[in-house]
Amino acid sequence: MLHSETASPVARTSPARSLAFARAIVFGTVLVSGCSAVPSAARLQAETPTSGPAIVAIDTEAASRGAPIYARYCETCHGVRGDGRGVSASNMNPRPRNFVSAIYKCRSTANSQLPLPRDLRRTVAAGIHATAMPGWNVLGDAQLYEVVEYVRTFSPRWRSEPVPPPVGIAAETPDDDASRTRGRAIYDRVGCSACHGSGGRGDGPAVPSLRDDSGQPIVPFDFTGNRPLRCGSAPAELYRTLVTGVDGTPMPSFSTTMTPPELWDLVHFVMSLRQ
Amino acid sequence: MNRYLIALVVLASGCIGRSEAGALPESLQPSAQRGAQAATAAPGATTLSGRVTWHGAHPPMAPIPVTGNTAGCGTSSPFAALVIGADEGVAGAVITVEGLRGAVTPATVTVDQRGCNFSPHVSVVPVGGRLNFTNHDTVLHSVHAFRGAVSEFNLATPPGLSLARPMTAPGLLRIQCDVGHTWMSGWVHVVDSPFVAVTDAHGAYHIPNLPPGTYRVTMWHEGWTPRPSTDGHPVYSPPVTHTETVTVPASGTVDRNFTLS
Repeated sequence: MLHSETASPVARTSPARSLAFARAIVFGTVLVSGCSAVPSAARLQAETPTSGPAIVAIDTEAASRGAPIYARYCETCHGVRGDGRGVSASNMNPRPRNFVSAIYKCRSTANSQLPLPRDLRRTVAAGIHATAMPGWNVLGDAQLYEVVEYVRTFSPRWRSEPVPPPVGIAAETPDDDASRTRGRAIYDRVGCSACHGSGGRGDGPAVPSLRDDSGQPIVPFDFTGNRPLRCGSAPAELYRTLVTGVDGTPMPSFSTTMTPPELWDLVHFVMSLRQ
Repeated sequence: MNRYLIALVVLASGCIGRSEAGALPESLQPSAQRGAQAATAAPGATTLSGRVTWHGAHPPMAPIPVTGNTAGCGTSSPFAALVIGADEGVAGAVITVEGLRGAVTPATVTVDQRGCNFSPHVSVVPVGGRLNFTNHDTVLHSVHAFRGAVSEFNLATPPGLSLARPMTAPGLLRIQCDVGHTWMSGWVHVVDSPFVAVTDAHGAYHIPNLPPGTYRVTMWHEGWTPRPSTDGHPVYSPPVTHTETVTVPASGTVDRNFTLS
């Protein structure tokens, strides 16, 4: 810290006392902020609407503790204003998420709706495979909660738009050869190969024209090989992705045109490609 | 200096992106922005009708090359942003009597995906009604709707299947298909007034049951001058609107025509 070299004749505390005072403040702040805690069960319950869409208010106290976490770990890519225009962003494909528009790929809520805060925590903790977004296992549960609350402050949508309850995931049907065969037929009949290719390699004929909502070229997922899926590799998570679609990308929701058994057959077939 | 010029050009080209909604007719604006005039009107006995016609030489309206699924979609798609009939009638213009709201009958409006195009290209759906998309083709389509720059929904329509979605908020939606069919586009006007109509193939429109009064009547038409596009989706100049003042008597028919050129 630079001290002013032109000390005013008006009484000033000595530099040594100022420094000690400053250190006490910083220590006290650290002490107080160290008391951050994981969100209570009541809070976690409140942030997931159950009976109908509801505004999920931001925990402003937690958000203020999340600000230095964001500055340290997230700002370089996601930007000071949370708009995805960090200093490192222009070299990346896909680009870092723009938190201002609050369009999120991986959600447990319906197509084109806001996600649940826990969806964001999941993404921060797990990362997104094959992108520059790592899994932030350096963050503890409390810090995850705080940084996500801070991220939510970037978008006005959280204050005015209700968040719907999570989509239902029907009970899984047996994952047997019959299901996978039906799934293959569904894959062909519905036309998944247009983007994902007849072999699921992400090399369908539509690929050259595909853009995400920000205009960047985007490639459909290659299901072959043992790559982690974008929004989770458990069968139920793939099922959910088919129901919600992947917002901000050409991947639509299939829930309005396929029944749950059909969706599960498709999941079983796609999972079989991964082996 | 050059750096700033390049940055300005890059920024400007990003702004050109989609044809912006520009000045929306009142019935498409969020309710909070409406003028104080908007009042719920009992149905009257007057009909406002007329035609939207083209004046002068036609601009370039070349068919759009089809770049994918040629087996299912053909090799070209008709120019959809401006459709002028043999009698110079302009189809797909939307006429709105502003400042009036009225009981809308919740109806289901169907937009077909046929020949790898949205048909009709421009439709009007009442708030509280449903928008039904039916895929009559043999290839997968999706319906990706945007309200301004924001995605409203993105739903898959596999071949032969339909989906219906309730329309709950007035406004203007632009729709596209994301499954490699970049030429597919359409517009959906979600309205909370019954006093809105789309012109037919002859450019004719017909708005019945108007109560007497003096109103501003706005014609909306999507822009048709091609602009640079970075992703293969056709992009045009912003929509055109003309507003006229019309005095409606207690009964009878009032004729009001619009021209585009």
